[in-house]
Amino acid sequence: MKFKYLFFLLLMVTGFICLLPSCVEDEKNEKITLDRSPLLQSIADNVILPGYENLHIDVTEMEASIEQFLENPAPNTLDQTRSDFEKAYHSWQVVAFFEFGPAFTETLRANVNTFPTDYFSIENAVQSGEIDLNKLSSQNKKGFPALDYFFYGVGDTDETILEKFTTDPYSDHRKAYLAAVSEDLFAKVDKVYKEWMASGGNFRQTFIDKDGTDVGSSMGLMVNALSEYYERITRDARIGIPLGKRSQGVIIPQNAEAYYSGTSVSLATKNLDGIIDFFLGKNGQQDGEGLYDYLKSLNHEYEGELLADVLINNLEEAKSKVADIPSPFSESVKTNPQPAEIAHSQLQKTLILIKVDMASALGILISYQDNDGD
Amino acid sequence: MMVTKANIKGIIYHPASIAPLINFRVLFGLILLISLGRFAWYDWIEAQYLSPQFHFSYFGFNWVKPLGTGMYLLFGIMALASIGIILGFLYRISALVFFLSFTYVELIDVSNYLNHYYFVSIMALLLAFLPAHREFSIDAWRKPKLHASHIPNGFLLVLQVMIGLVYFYAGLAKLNTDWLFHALPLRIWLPPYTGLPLVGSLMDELWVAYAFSWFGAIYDLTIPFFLFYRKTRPYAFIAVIIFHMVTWILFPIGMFPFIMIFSATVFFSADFHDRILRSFQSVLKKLRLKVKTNSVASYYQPSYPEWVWGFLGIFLFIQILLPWRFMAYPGNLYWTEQGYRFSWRVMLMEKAGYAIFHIKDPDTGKEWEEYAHDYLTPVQEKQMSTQPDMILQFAHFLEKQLVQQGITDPEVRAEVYVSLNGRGSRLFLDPKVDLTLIKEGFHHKSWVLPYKNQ
Repeated sequence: MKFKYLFFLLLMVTGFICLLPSCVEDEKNEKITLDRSPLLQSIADNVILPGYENLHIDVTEMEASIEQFLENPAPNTLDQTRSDFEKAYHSWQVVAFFEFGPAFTETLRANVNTFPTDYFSIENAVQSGEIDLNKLSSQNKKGFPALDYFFYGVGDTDETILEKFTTDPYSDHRKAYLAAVSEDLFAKVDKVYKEWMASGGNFRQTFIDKDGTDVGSSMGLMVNALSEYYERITRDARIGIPLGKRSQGVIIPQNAEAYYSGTSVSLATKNLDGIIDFFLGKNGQQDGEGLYDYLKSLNHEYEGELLADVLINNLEEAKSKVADIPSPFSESVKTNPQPAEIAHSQLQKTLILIKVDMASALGILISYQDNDGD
Repeated sequence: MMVTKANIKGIIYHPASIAPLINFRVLFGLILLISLGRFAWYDWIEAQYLSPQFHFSYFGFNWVKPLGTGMYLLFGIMALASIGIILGFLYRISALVFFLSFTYVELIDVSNYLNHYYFVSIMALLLAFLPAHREFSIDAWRKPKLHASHIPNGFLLVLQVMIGLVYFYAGLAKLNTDWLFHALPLRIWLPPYTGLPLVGSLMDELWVAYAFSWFGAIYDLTIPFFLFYRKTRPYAFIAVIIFHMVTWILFPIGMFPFIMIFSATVFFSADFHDRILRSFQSVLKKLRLKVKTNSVASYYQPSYPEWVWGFLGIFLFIQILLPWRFMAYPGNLYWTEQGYRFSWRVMLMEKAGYAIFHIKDPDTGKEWEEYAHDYLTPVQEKQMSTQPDMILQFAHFLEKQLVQQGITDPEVRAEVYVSLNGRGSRLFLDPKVDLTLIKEGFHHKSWVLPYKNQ
């Protein structure tokens, strides 16, 4: 029977061909070891949960000092509030890019850090006494940027700021507004933190269990969230927009993050610190498994070096370039924009490594939309 | 043996049972209807045709625009037309209407291009030329003189050759060093499937990626022949089912596997198709639906044979030539994608990119940046970032936007980085070229930088 021979021949050829690669290719790594569950567990336990825990502690402390400040607006309570505010704002930077799961459902980032804050509307609300922070349109009238305005921006000096909370005819309204912002901020952070905890919504387990790389998997969500955040917030909102990159070359200093306290550079540096720690799976001294280690195990190369190393080096470079921007950013963008330009182009370079090279190497579809391929 | 005119005529006019054509008509119509339903169910009409503020057109088809909420009407017409095809009701008109409306929809936006949409389009066009309504149809029931039990074999041959071409060219495209000797891109695509039951642990073995690559290439190149020969056909069909089911599990390719499995049945014998048709009729009879069949053998011949065979011949000729047009362009095809579409290059490469558009207003000397995500959907942005013709179109769109904003003569340059098959991203286009000065068209795009393999 002719066809039997044909099939035998086909089988032989296929079999032979399958053996062929072992002679033509000298592979360093025969098996690509991939076990994502422990990786996700490490990221949850070493990075995400401690990050939210810190933020939760700092926001709780900040709320307490704001309460004291509201009871007795004075130089010493203002100082304490400011220092707790800055601490909490910095803690926010290292969890800001986890925009998936509970943080996504609660739209945490938009609720706690939409900047620039709409000080004009805030003042209007203070005068009318009508405070509603739950509307979608209230996102740029609350959160850290609103606190930044209250503690640093309502007056030019500490005395005039304190006056706004003491002798000013609307001081009671203003105090109520500040209390509402503080309360709202705590509530949002508290909700997300508890959703992650085992005793609460236990999203930690869901996160570890979804260990595929498809669109809905933890890996897919995490990488998509990170690259979108890095593109639109780390690069654009923090550096690019004040630099005029999105506004026909006209600088917009007042759009800088933490415009009133002038801590933009420190916050942006902290954000990159957080991203680097996230990649390494690090939490202080404790170094667990992170995307870096996973990428390393995939053995992907970029211009002769390991992509994992290239990525970390470029992130470090971006961090140091951002740290080099003279503070306050809203001033230096007018007088000496060159360091910010340099930081921006390094951020740009790193974005390409994240969005193109890393996503490709991980086999993750960078897409926020479901569709067919072919 | 000399191929003579009489020979060819003999092959074309050899009487063949109409049954394979009937079954193909019904199956193909069904899968079209299901695909349309699925498309609407996922809200893709809205996502692909209503929400985007800009659409990438095919060169020369810039007049094809979405019809707003009329898109729902168009999809409704397509659904009716596919029902017409299934039932053989106003069959030729139905097939033609389906072809025209489906092709119109596909021409709206290049970023929705899929090889299997193109396949559906050309199959629908072919259907309009086939006498697939002359049995087991409402048309033949209304007009008994349409009845035909036999048709010229040429009609079946056209379908078989077309389907064979799809596989064969898909196989030819796999004969490249990345696919065969580096198991790329499958070695990137398979490892994420370690979670699959039973075979999961194999998915990150390198030899598996090689085996899949080589088997895929051999399968595509040989399957048309194994399907064609009677003795190998049953085994080949089992291979077709296994192959397409595997691709269905591994890749997000929607309805394509089912379309191909159903299409492969046109290679089956008349006997097989007759039996299927008869058992289907007996089911209908049990349902007390009267199906009148004409037991008298009758042979249908087209009234204007020169026109019909001429059209089908030219059609196949174009299909054979089209995939080779890439040879008219210099450079790496996978990098430049000049002549990439309409050539059955299916699931062939892993490509990702990112584009930064640098704008300069020569009047003020100011420079700034534009990003695609402000104007495009994620899918559009992803598609644009790796395809030069789309980047050019988008640059021209940006130019128009900027002119509307009062900038008289903006300069638009694109800094694009692309990674091909997981290799380090590199500069894709000449970042010094002002894209507003470049014309769209089929000519060689010299501003695409050459691909350097490290």
